[in-house]
Amino acid sequence: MKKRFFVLLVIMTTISTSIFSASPTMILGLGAGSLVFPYEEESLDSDWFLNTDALLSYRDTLTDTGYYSFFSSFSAGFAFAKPYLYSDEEMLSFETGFHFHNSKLICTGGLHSSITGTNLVLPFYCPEWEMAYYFITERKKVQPFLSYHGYYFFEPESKEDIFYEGLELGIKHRPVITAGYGISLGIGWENWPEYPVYSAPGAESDTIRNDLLCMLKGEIEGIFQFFLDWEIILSIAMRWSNTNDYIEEIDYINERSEDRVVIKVETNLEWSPSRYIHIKLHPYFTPGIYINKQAVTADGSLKGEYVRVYEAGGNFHIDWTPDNSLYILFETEGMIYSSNYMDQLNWYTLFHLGIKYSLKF
Amino acid sequence: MKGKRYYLSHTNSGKRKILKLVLFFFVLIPVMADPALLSILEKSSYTDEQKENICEIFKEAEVKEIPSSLILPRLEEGISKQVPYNRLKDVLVNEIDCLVQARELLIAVDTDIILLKESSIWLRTGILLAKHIPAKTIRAIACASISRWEDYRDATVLYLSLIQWGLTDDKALMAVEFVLQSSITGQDFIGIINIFTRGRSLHISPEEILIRMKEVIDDIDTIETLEEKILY
Repeated sequence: MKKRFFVLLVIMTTISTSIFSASPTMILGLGAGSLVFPYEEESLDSDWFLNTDALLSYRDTLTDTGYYSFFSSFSAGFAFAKPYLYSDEEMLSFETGFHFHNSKLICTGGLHSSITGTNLVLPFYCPEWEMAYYFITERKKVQPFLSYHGYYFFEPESKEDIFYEGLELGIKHRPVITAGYGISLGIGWENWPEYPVYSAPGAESDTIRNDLLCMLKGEIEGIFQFFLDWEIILSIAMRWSNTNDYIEEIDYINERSEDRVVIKVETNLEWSPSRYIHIKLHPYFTPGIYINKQAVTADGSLKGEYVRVYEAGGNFHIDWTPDNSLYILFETEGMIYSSNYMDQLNWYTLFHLGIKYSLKF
Repeated sequence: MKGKRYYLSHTNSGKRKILKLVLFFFVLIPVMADPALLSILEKSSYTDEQKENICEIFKEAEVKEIPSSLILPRLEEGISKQVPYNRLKDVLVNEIDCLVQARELLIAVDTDIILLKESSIWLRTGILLAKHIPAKTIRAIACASISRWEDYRDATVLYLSLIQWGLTDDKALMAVEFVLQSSITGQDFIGIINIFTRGRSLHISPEEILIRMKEVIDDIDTIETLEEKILY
């Protein structure tokens, strides 16, 4: 449990690093913090950790036709747990945009990886690619777009590799500079080439797991009082899968165990009241309903009800800079997860204090 | 005796009041000849003497060729907020001075401007002067707005917002001048502030944003293009 949270921690500190920055720029970061989580029953535990990260980015405009940008980052963390835990994470990405009269094409590609992994989360490599075409780029008009997204999540030491391809069709519209909205419908396919699908209790079949995903998303966004950007996103995602779940304790196969509906409500707020301060807040709530999966008790017996999961969480970030080179930041993140499947209730809270230094070349 | 004295004093006070009213409505009205001003003053709780003084201020404004329509909103605001007379008087006098300065400034910048027709520009300039924005800064914004006076107000809002956000006067002015040089419409100027705040979250300094803005501004026709060229 502790190790899993530690991985989350490292991911969190990496994600908090800005994806784009000035060109060419290197940002070096160093931080420390504490992760608080439940330990056994009605007791708390915490781990102190140190983390460091480095980010290198470059961007430039392509004369009259668009832009390109390159981004790479590396982060590593070390937790004073027993035994000591460490983790690493790397990201490489490239993006380019081309304009054609009143439309534009954006292509991105990248690699996300963890070379060493940890004791629980294994090393992984995930190449990703995406192409998005905006048929109209004029903001005051409804802008239809079509995008294609794919990735291959490769875990050399597990059977949970995923190959994904998906299409998203939608519109964006910002009739006034201070407010806009977007609606999109996405459809995707996941292929799990090594994932076990059971033909009989305990007997794996040759069937390959394939999941079909469908997502409807709506968002509204705007600017309030010049300095506050806000966004509210509501999405409903459905998953149909041919896989099943084998419960060894009662020698039972739960057919189509991954079919589910997940709703997500989230908000993004970014506020910069002055050039020296930047604040971000991201709360979310995600209830999920499994359509066929039976909930079981901790000892493995069927409860006679379908699985329900609820996750709520968020993160808060504030940084201050005196000179746009040195940044002092404070971050906190929390999550609570509850499910009637084995009566799970997990949560964690994380506090992180750090500095970043931005170098321009 | 006591009752008689009271009666006499009461009667005198009543007479004085009647006299004042007669003076106010029958002597001052023809002089002022502005029913809007009278109607606003009627709603106030100021004394008759104070009302007379306010009318005097408006008369002085007329002499200085400042239309009363430019200062009436301030009087209305003061009355609705129940601002004390002395403070209101100072505000009105200051506003008239600022409008006189604003007229001189705008005519020096654009000799063809007809201020009575463009009273919103005149008033806006007066407000900026009242906020102690340096005259040379206002002159620079006005100079950059000559061919697009309809965006002057939005340009000054952009300037004030950037100052509030922490930019120095010269940098805020530079941003405003760049934007007025482009084809971006005034109602989208708020997007410029957003470029600075988003740049902040991406570790791009305002100074760097200004450099990039200078490089690309001549080819920019929409705020989205500018944002893309600067932030990505």
